[in-house]
Amino acid sequence: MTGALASRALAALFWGTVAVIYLPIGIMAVFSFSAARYQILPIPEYTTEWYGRVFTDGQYTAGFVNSVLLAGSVSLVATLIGFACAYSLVNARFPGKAAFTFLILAPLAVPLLLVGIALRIWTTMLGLQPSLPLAGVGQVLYVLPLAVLNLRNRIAQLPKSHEEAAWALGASRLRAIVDVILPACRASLIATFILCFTFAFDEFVIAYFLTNFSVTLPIKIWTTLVTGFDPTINALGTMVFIFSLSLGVTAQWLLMRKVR
Amino acid sequence: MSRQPVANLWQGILPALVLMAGFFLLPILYTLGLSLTTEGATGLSLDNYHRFLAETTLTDALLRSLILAISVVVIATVLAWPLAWYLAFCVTERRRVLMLFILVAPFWTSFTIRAFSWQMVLADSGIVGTGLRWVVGPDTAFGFLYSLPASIFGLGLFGIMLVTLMVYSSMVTIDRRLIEANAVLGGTGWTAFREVVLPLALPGWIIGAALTFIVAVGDYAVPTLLGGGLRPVLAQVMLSVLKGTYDLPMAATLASVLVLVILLCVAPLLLLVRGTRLQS
Amino acid sequence: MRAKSVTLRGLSKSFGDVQAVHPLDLDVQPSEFLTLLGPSGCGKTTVLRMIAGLETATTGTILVGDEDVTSQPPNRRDTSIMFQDYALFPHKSVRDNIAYGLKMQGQTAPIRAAAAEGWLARIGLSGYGDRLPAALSGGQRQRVALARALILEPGVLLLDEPLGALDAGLRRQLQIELRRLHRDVGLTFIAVTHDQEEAMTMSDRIAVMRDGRIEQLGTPQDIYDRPQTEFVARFLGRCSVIEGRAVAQEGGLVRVDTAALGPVLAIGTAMPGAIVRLALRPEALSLDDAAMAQALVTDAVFTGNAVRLALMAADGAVLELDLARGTPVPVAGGQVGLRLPPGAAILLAS
Repeated sequence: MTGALASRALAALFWGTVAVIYLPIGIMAVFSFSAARYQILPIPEYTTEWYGRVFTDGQYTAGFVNSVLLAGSVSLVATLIGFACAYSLVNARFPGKAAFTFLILAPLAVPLLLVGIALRIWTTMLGLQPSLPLAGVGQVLYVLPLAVLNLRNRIAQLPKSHEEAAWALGASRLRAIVDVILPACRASLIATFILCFTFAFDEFVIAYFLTNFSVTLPIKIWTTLVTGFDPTINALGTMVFIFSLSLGVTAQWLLMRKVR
Repeated sequence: MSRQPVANLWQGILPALVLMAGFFLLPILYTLGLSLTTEGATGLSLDNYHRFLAETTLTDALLRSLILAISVVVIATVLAWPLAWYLAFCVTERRRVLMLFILVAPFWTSFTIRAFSWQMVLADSGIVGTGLRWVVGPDTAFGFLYSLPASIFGLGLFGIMLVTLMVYSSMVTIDRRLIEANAVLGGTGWTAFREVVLPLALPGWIIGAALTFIVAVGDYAVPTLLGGGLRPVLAQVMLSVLKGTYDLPMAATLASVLVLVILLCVAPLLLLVRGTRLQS
Repeated sequence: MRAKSVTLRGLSKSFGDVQAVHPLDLDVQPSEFLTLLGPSGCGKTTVLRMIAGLETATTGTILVGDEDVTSQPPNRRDTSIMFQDYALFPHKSVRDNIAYGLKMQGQTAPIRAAAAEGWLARIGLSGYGDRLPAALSGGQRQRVALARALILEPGVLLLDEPLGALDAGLRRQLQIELRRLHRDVGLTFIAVTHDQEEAMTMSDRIAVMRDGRIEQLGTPQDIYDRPQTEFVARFLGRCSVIEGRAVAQEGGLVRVDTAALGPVLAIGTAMPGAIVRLALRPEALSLDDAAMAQALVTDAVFTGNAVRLALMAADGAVLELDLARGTPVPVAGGQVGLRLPPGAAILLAS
């Protein structure tokens, strides 16, 4: 249908776009091994000094630990709340289901900046101090729609007869959920957790707005960026990129596996 | 008559409901309400909005955000349609998913890292600048960085990824036989696009464009890293009002303006979606 | 095992404006194998699910044994249900699947293992205990589903289209197995199916349902030989229907004047002078050159163990007749004589 010439042109466009997207990351990775402070070619000397610095600089490691803990808790909470919500959305009847679904998915359509500012203003009014847990709450809001969407799709696919069989065999409602629904959702639950983790880990705006001194890795990277160029960022950026990418790949692979 | 042998477990939504109501809905409503008050004075008024309109730095910032967002959507659209077409119709099924993934994968990584990497490349001392001096002459300065076009470029790449993904998702579900029917009835590749593919993939584009607009109009990281602080966008102004002058009602007002802008620009798009059939 | 009776009184179900089941009564005897038979949409599965507790009754009561279970959840009724898709838990082994109900009762692991092994032997799958359901064939999965339901020794076993998911050969084999199993365990079985051959092979009694009502209840023999309505007659086995006028009642038979076959002695009662409809099974008619009734042969179809003749009677009624193998087949277009013994036709009520 598409002529051979047009196909060739489109292919060029595609790979050209991919090249442009990945170009700076590649350059950053290359220069993370360069001993020079700036991006000059040819590379005077190869070194892993910057990578070493990342690990020895206490602030980076502290930021990393904070990010992991925060993202881990956020994903756990979001996955659990998302599961309960998804189960009720699929299986229960209640008035206003459409409105509720709209509310749950709304954070996808609202700029993070808005969420961050509104939350900051609101918590200030309530007298709550900015802190890591507070940022966590904001991030749960941010990733919850993803969790609900993912899990809702999966739960809707499960044959109702499995749950009913468990009830008929004497299981209570909750027991049947634990014995039948959760195991069947295992891949989706893990994928959802990883997906939420990835987004929360990389999240900057809400964390920035709702913390003062405790610092996540994205915030630390940010402050380094605006205060002055430090080549360590090249190494750090490369590592964070690979880390997030691996998580994303794993989650995507889990989600796409054929279901029995 | 309530004879319910099997319980209706709607309670699962409660944690989510409490969370959303208490930390999403209420804060936003409160912020919108706050914009109608002023420091020191009681009662509601539109004073803040008047101040906003009067202050050119603020309206300029809004304008820049709008220009930024609209440009990003345009760029993303222009590239997304051919890219989505290529993936949906010119690539075998097996390679399709892999190639889409390659295009979209950076989406999962940190926004700030990507913006930063572009900052390095686009800086005068960066690769492009150095290359330029090689080719043209040692005194040429590459002043692309720290300007609105640089922000447009940075966010544009994000937009391309998002809109391509959305348009592709719609395109790939189009029944091939419709296109064959078009060919049988005497149409060309161009008419196939205009009559069959475009209308059916439109809902995907609408969602992609709406989401891209929303992200672009409210973004802070990219304009700060690539756009510089000299000519700020709305997001940067909001931050300086909040953390700098600490004028909460004004920050609230700016937030409300943002909400209004989004509603005004995105609502017509979504109404279009109602018109076309939407699958999600 | 102690088999229980099931009693339905005034049981009905509406989904919004749609009445799926009209108020009906049914008495299922303990240890009986009763089948609800009918086309899709007749309400039979809804009735079964109400007995199981998976569907709320709109009106009426359900008794299992002497207990009113109408508002009890499924896990507290003394019923067990086997689903059409078997609903085996895919992530549990065969043994864990079978023992699941015992686990819910709180039985200890050794007891569960022993009971499961016992049932595995009973269904001929010893040694398969550790496998996952995905590794089993359709027939094997059905047996596991049965074992899982029966291990709890319920008073009543409910089966939703038990053989629907299997191919014809397997189905016939399993029909016999189900009947044997029923005799072995002696429980009350209530099954739902749309396949009349299945119903007739397995059941002690059949309830034929249409549009949410029970049209006729009786043993397979009763229903086949004495269908009360044209719907039942046509649903079970093949039949031809002819019209006539009732002349006189002679004991249990009524003499009917028909245009198709002349005077006929049919089973049933009617008012003299009434216009009635009669059902004829293909095996009721036979060829007889000396007979007065004549019909035109329109088609002859080979059906494996017989030849089915399609005939058109004098008044245009379509008749069917089965010829045993070996009988000479009359040529299409020719006229043949038909003989109908007394009491071979059945008067239809409606």
